[in-house]
Parts: sequence; structure tokens; C-alpha cells
Amino acid sequence: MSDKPNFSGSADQKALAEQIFQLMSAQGAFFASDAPIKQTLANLADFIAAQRKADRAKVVQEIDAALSKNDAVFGREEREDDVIYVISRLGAYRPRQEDTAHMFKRRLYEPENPLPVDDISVVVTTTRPALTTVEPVFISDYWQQQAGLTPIVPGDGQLSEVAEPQAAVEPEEVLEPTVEPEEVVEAAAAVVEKPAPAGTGIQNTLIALPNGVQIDLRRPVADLMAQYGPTLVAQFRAALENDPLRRIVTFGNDAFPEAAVENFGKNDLRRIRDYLLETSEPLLDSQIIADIFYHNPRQNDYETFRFALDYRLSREKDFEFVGVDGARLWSTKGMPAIGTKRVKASEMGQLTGYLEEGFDDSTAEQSAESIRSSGMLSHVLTFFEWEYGVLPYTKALAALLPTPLLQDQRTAVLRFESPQHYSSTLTELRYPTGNRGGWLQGLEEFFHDHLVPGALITLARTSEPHIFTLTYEEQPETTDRLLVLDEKKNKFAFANVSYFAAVDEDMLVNQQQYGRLRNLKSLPMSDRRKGDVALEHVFETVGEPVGTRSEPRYEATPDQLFVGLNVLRPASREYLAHLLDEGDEFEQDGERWSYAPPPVEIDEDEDQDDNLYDDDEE
Amino acid sequence: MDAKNVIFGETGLEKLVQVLRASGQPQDITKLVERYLEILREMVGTEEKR
Repeated sequence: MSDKPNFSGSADQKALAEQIFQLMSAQGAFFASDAPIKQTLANLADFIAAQRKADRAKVVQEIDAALSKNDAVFGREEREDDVIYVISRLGAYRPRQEDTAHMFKRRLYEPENPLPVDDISVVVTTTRPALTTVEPVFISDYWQQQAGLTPIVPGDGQLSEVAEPQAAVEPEEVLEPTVEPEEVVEAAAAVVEKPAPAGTGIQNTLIALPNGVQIDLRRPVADLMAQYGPTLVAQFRAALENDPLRRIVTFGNDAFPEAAVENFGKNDLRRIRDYLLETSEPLLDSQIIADIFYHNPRQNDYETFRFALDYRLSREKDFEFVGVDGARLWSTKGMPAIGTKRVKASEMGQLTGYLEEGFDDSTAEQSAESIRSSGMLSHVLTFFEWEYGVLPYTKALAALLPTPLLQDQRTAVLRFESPQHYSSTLTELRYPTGNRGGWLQGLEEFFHDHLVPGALITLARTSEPHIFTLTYEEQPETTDRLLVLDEKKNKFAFANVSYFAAVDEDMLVNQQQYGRLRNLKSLPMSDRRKGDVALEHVFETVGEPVGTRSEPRYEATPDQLFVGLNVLRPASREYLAHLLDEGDEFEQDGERWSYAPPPVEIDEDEDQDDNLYDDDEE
Repeated sequence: MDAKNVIFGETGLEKLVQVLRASGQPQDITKLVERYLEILREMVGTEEKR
């Protein structure tokens, strides 16, 4: 700022030019020293005419004349009807020149004199991998051209368009031994149809998935999806989840760009939570949208809004997704529990753990495929199922019920309707996790009101994915003495019960068949989850005593043991057979099994062992 | 583009995002993978020329 340019012209013109330079410099006081400072002739004339109280037209002429004399400092541009003068704080304005002669990028990619290479393998790698893999090693276009692998083409980056694949050097999909020979033939035929020009190189179209599978992008998309569909979807889903920018987000099987997903504020979430608590049962996303956000399904953005709601709720810890594909239900903290509280979830998971251990014979009579296709499942209730209103999540039940929509989904809420009683029951399906089995709970009230252990029930799908029907075959009233659990005394007893359902007589736990079960102890759940402990107690109770006081021994049939064991805990026949085979104290004798408890010291003063008495034998 | 430079689930994802945004609605992930493969095919220049 201190070194002002020299101005030329008459004394008045010099003074005027200097005044205008100072004015414009003050205007651009905070500009870079070489940045352009512009001002119009009209503005300058207005200011100076007002300052001098002179005629504006005359001032215009004076300014124009003075600045024209100093055109080395004042750049002049004519734009439409006005004239613009340009200076910089240094004096005349000169556009900045970018010096790009020494950019690192240029030095890295465009070597002026690359070193000569005699052997291309020296460039590829200097070390040999321990294991031979087909992992491609990057060779720059430059060296490929030098080695004669690809032709030198004018321009840059147009290499792949020219090069055609050659059958002789085409890489094989080595990680996929199931490649059909026909494809190779087809590929070869295609190459024959399009002969490669002389001197062409490799066009690499193999891409490697993160799990190592290589796919050839020359194959049609439909073929790739048919062969690798599940893998591709799984890998793509994993890639989306691992994307640090989260550009595409998913909910269930739907995907949408995150940037386009609507946000919900705290107030919105509070309203949803309050509404769920008010209704006291999980609600569909569509219902939440209609009742809280008044969004209409006919609106164009309805599906986007619905996705946004589902996705945002899935990210909130206060909400839990309990829906299935086609019925997206939401629950929240503080809602009433569904199903029995008498068995804890952790205990129930262990009780049904035998299913995950492979002792699931539920599809022996009705295959999973027939259940899936017919949408119906018949099942005979055991005592434990009837008492606690739970159904173990067997393969048969899994074939009927929907699978979880989300990967980390633990529960789904399903509704069971009874067309015979015009009632419906909300149930909770707990999916298996790790070595803990799954189960369906919440049917306690319905079972106790209408059914008995041994009843044959039929579960069937409806048009709604989360609604099922529960039916049974009705029959004239029957009264029998059936096993019941006295909760207050925590003891089993037989009581007169009237029922109207068709039953499997062998599974009906009545006094006539299973009178000894009155002596069964209602073991704590911690003991019941140990299959061998429960079976030993059941054996001692239902088994026929054939030993002596000092060497007790019991005999029972597998059917008796199956019914007895299912009083204490859920168990399959396969699991029972496994327990009998594994236990050292159990011995098979024809169709019957015997059990000799390990010897224990008997206190003479103690009362007689109850098990030796068979007062219920008729 | 050489296929060896393709990272599945990363390369061409921006293009897929544009396609998805243009559709205006959430898409099934299987359909999206198919579209993504098409994008990759275009990028490596394997689209059949007819």
C-alpha cells in the first residue's frame, strides 16, 4: 500500500486518478493484494459529483479522461451501458498464473524417462508368495504396453475397449469347481466368432468377492444371480453395512440411500412410544404412520416414509422390531409381557436347547415341505406345553411360522385366532439363539380354557403373515381325572376335568394310565433343564418297581417315559432315546427300559420310600 | 476399467446410489444386486455390443 503507482496526465487528472485509486483500494482493503477490485464509472461519478457538488455529466468526462491517461493502472471493461475499472491493491490488476509444472501427480504418473526393464516379472513382484494364488497383481498400462501384452493406443485410458479376451490366456475361475463345461465351450465359441486382433492382451473381467469367490462379469447377470445369488446378496449386504459413509441403508430386504431417508425427531419418537404404550400391544408400521403421521398410502412418498420409519426405529434402542416380512410390527420398552412369567426366558431357552442339539424329530410324521406347502401343522399337546402355554420351536413349527426379517431379530409377535371361539391370542415367538432353542409362548389361557394335554391341535396360516389360526377337533363332553399342577402346593394331582376336544389317548395324562405321576415332584426349572436328572426322577415315579429296598430297580416303556418327561419339560422321542442310551443306569430289555438308581445309604429310621408303593395302581 | 481394480460393494456404489435415488422408492436388495452387477459390467466394459 505504501508504494503507490505513478499517475500521468495533467495535475488535475493525476489528482483525480490518485483519488479514485485510493477509493478503490479502500474498497478492497481486505482483498488479496493481487485480487481484482472493480468499480463502475457511474458509481465513481455519483460519488465524486456529490463530493464536489459538480455537474455529474462533466465529472463523468473528467474521470474517463483521467483514467484513460492512466490505463497502465486502471483496466477498462465496457459492459452493456456502463464502464468498469479494475485495479488491484498493488496497482494494475494482472490475473494470477498457476504454476503446475512441478506437480507430484505428474511426477508420479508420467515419468519422462522410465527405467528400461528386460524381464516383466521383475516389475510384477520381487517375492514369490508362499501359496500360489490367482490374485491379480497390478501392472500399470505403461509396462503392459512395454511388454507387448497390450497394444499402444493413442490417448490414455482407452485400453480395455481395444483388447479382446483370448481363450489361451483366459484365467479360470479356480475357486469355483462347479463351473459347467458348457460355459467354457460357449466362451470359446464366442472367442472364435470374434477373433482377437494380433498383439492383443488380457481383458480381465474376473472380480473377487470379499469371501474369495471369483465371478466373471462377462457372464449375464441372470446367470451370475442363479449361481451365486445368495452369496452376492450376503456379500453386498455386508459391504453396505461396512461402508463407513453408509451411503445405502437397508431394512429387511429393502434398501434406500441414507441421504434420502427422512429423519424423525425426539418428539416424533416420543409420540410413537406413547401410542404403543397406550395400545399395549405391538403395532404395524402402517398403523403408526396412519394414526400419528396421517400419511396416506396413496401419497407418492408413502413407501419411502414407511422405510424411513422402520429404519429409524430400528436404530433406536427404545424400540424393538417384532414383526415379520409383510407385517412390520413395533414394540417398545415398558409394554406388557406376552406369555407366561412362570418360566423365565433363559430357562425356556435351555429347556428347548435339545432342538438345537439335533434331537428334533418333529418332521418325522409330517415333512417340513408338506407343512410349508399346505400351511398347516398338526400337533399333540404335551402336559408341559398345555400347562405353560408354550410350543417348542421345532423344525415343523419353523416350517409353518415366518422366519426373522432382521438378522439380529430375537422375537416376533404373532396372533393366533380361534374360529371356534371367535377369540384371538397374542403370542410371542422366540427365535433360537446359539445353543438355546426357540419357542412360542402366550397360549396358556387358550389351552387351559379349551384343551387338555393330549389334545390334537391344528395351526394354520392365514392371508396375513403374522396371523394364524388355532383349531381342534370338537367332540362330545368327556370327563376324566386328569393331571393338574397345584401351583400353591407346587404338587401334581389328579382332578376331574371336562373337555370337548379330540385327544390322542396315549398322550392323555389321566389317572387311569399315569396314576403314578401324582408322586412326581414339580422340580425347579434349574433341575428340569438337566434332561438326565429329570428323566431319572420320572423313571423313579412312573416306572414299575421291580427291585428291592436295598437295590431298587424300575421298569417302564419309552411311551410312559415320554409322557412323564414331558410333564416336567419339553422333550422329543429322539431326545429321550438319547438320554436313555447315554445314561449308565439305564438298560434296555426288549421294548422296556430299566433303571437302577445308584445305591444310597438308607436311614433305618426314615420312612419307607414312597416310590416302592404303588397306591394308584388300579 | 480393469476388473482387478473392482472392489465389490464399493466400486460403482455412487452410481448405484444415484439409480436408487432416481427410482424414488426403496428397492428389494436382490434387484439392487442385479442392478449393481450391471453397473460393474458396464464399468469393466463387458456389456455386449449389439
